[in-house]
Amino acid sequence: MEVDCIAERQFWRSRYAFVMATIGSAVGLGNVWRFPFVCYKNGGGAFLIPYLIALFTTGIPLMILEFSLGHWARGSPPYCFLKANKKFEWIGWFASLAPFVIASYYTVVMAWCFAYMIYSIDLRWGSDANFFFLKHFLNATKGPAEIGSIQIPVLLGLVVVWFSIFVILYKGVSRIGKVVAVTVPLPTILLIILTIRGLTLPGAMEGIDYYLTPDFSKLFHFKVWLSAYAQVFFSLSLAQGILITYASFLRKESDITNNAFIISLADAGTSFLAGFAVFGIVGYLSLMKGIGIENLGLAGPHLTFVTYPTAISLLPFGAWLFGMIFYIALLAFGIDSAFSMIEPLATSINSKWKFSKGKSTAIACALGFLSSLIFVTSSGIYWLDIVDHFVANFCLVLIGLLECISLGYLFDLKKLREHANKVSDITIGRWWDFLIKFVAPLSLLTLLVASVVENISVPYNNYPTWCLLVGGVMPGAMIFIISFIFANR
Amino acid sequence: MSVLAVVMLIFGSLVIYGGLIYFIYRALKSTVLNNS
Repeated sequence: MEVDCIAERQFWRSRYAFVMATIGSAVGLGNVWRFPFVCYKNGGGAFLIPYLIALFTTGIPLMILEFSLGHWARGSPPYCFLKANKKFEWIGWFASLAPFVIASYYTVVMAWCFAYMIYSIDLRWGSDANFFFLKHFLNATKGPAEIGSIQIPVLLGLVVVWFSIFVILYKGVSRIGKVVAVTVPLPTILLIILTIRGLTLPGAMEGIDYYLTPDFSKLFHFKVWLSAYAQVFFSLSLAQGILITYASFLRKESDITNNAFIISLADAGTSFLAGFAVFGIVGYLSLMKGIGIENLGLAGPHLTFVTYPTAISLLPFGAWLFGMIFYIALLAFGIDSAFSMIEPLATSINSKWKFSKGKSTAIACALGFLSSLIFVTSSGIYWLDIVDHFVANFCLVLIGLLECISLGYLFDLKKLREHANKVSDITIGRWWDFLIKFVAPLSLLTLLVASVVENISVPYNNYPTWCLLVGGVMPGAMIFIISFIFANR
Repeated sequence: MSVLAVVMLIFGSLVIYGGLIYFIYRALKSTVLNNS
């Protein structure tokens, strides 16, 4: 093994392994429970136009930027930023710590999926999936202020998830390559099975109509474009140090640009496909229950743990099987994203303090598990909602903005473009510089300002202010401060 | 399904899956990079 900034540098076994791992990181629960709803809410099929424009003008250029930085500097995110400029190391730490915070609650949702996979065997949610999820399974309190007790089924699932992450990561990228060879194609195949099943149900076509019938008037709404840029940004694992870390494990003569196009389009393709799986079965549920589609929970945990189980229970045959398929698909989609969120921090610890890969992974997983415990309590669902809202809308967007400014204006961006062109099949021109210097930061700045204005005018979901400060502002402020401390040690 | 929904289905599929197939084809065709 080559010795450099990372104590024991490893490499992807093949281009396929890298592409699969990065697709696995990008494609996660959000592709299933966020994109179809965002698409339906923002003009149906017409949303594809701003979405694809956002993908090509911000998503793919930013992915190329992160790949180029990781491949050029060949190290952990803090090291890569340090190599770009001595004053930038903290940005790398900030980018490594943000996904760690996300992983702390993302793994809890996976623990829910794990429990529901088992519950699918006897369709334990019964006829009232909403009551089962909130009262029986989560034992949810009235609000975040009332913490409640730790929920044992969730805790057991959480232990399984974190142990799996540790086992996958501690040996390094060689094991990741083997895992993603299964966990990326498998859920895609399962999603295709669910789509076919959904589309063959009565009422499915009405559901698809809701999903795809375009409302072109929405293209003149500023919010729709904002949603498109947000969807692309959050879906591609950008600004989380993941792409930088993964690219640092590529061999010297590895493609960057073409890989970025493949990964981004695979992510978009999974989201687009998921819409058929979701709206097909939602259309069926709407027909069976006589409830309008717009009145059903179409996004987030409600879609996954209430709407979908209800629809599964109504299937004429093989309900348990399709329930299991759905939750196995979610688990497989989620696990690649979950371990990719831990890898930047594990690699950064490994690089900075020269711990072994196993030790640095164990530290990151143990800290992650402890951080997850608050989300396992009866009030966990509220805290999860708060932390997710603030970390995604503020921390990630801020990191993306910092990347664009630090690398676009305070560093010779041409160096990264030339580096990408030297190794890539497809060459990029000065238009890429323009996108990184102007289009991407402008879209991110607009997202950030819109979030600030929205949160100041109305407290998020009417949670008490102290809860928003503790769950929303504090984690962001803490990782910001820790980033500076780590950078100066 | 409405005609407009079908049009958007074709549009989305062509751009996303067509693009994906094109870039995978380019990757497979690439002589320099297949092994890395």
